[in-house]
Amino acid sequence: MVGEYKVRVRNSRNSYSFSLKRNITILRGESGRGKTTLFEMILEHNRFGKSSGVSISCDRGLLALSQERWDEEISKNPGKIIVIDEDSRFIKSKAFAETVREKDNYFLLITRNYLDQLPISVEEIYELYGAKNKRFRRIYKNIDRMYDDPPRAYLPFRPDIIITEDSGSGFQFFKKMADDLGMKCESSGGKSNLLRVMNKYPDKNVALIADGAAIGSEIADLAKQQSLRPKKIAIYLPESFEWIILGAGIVGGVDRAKIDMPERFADSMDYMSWEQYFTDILIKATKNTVFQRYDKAKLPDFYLQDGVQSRVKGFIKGIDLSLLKGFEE
Amino acid sequence: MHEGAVVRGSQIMAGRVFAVLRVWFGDRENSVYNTSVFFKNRYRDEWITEDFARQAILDVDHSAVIDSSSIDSPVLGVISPLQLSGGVKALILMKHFPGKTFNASNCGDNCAKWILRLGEEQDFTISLLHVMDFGEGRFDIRILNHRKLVVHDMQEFLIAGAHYLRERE
Repeated sequence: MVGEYKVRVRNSRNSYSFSLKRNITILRGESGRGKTTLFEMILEHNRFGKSSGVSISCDRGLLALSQERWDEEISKNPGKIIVIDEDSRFIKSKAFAETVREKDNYFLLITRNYLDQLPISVEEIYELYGAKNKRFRRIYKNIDRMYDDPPRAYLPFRPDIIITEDSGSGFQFFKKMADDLGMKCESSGGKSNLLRVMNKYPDKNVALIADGAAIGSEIADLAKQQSLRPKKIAIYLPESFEWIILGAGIVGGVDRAKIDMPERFADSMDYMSWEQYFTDILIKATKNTVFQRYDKAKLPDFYLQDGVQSRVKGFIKGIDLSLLKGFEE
Repeated sequence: MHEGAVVRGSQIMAGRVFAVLRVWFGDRENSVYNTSVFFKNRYRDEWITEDFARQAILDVDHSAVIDSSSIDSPVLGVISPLQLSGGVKALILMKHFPGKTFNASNCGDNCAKWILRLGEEQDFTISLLHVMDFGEGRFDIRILNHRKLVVHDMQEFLIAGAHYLRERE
């Protein structure tokens, strides 16, 4: 599935309006705000159609998925938006993650569970607000991709240490930048290690750089740690490192719409997350070049040149990468 | 028995016995995951009109208990206890089945203070599949993944929760 879908679900007492534009969207938040009511309204509409009294407006069908034969039901309903409530134990399973992969569906998951097997975007985690007329509201807010809603007075944030989720090309890029600035740069070796590595440096100013397109499982804990250590932690979440390279205009010949409106192009059957989508664009855009040919594991020297690094520094507005103090361990 | 020693989950401090909230991070075989189904089949009318349930329903669901079978919801109108939020249902179950482990990831952070309050009154165990936010105050929570570990604030709870939730099963 590809595209953005506006959804309206209503009966005489409740009206829900929201849009979905990636393969996985999370709805969580406080108890008693109407999440399960939304699920039940869709379930009743599935069972009884218009005679349920529930009205659904969307260009795609919605399917409220119950526990029984969930995998069969997903396979039988391509092209639909699948809604799953929080009582569904199977969403933590490896089998579910495998089922979601490359499916022609969007999934709306009502859950607070830690789901590290799913590439959830930080941008697609919502809560409900409103009384009768309910809307989705993003939980994690940003200024220039700096999360979670940092006070403007702290930006640009000046770090002592940069911690990257990535251990390949993204780490190599920021390590070079940090070395030139006399800073420390460390890879956490994966998103699930970010909090642990960050907590090795409780007294330092730490900037985290991770893929916003897939950091959803970690963001609640990272944002909580940030709030417990005010002014010491900055969280920069571009869609991915490749999105930075493309967005900063380092590589030519790429249709700008593909970078700015990925929901129009990133088909859920081809890409589990937008991180994969942007990687694919960058690989394809550079495959016929000699010096720019992108390799996720080993960054070509082209990207480590001063000119490239300088343009990326200008692109990352929320982190001060020029006036830095040296790191002393 | 020295101060801070533990007997059957409770803590003895300065001669007084304190109940302890116990948390298991991760899924647990015998825990009640689908608390709404369990509630539907096991709740009793008289539980709804108790002070604890009345206050929790008012605070979490913004709804007022009329009697044991009717609750006035500002959004849904007069509803039955079966239409309470998953969070409130779980709280009522925790109070009345302290020997069972309930999945508290069905509870939003607005249920956290009620879980702490229950934990001061009785020993009971919850399982969590996320790190619930217990706020800025001090508390005593025993982490069952590491039986000797008792955490006292959100920083300690966050570190413990993040660690055990990320352990490979």
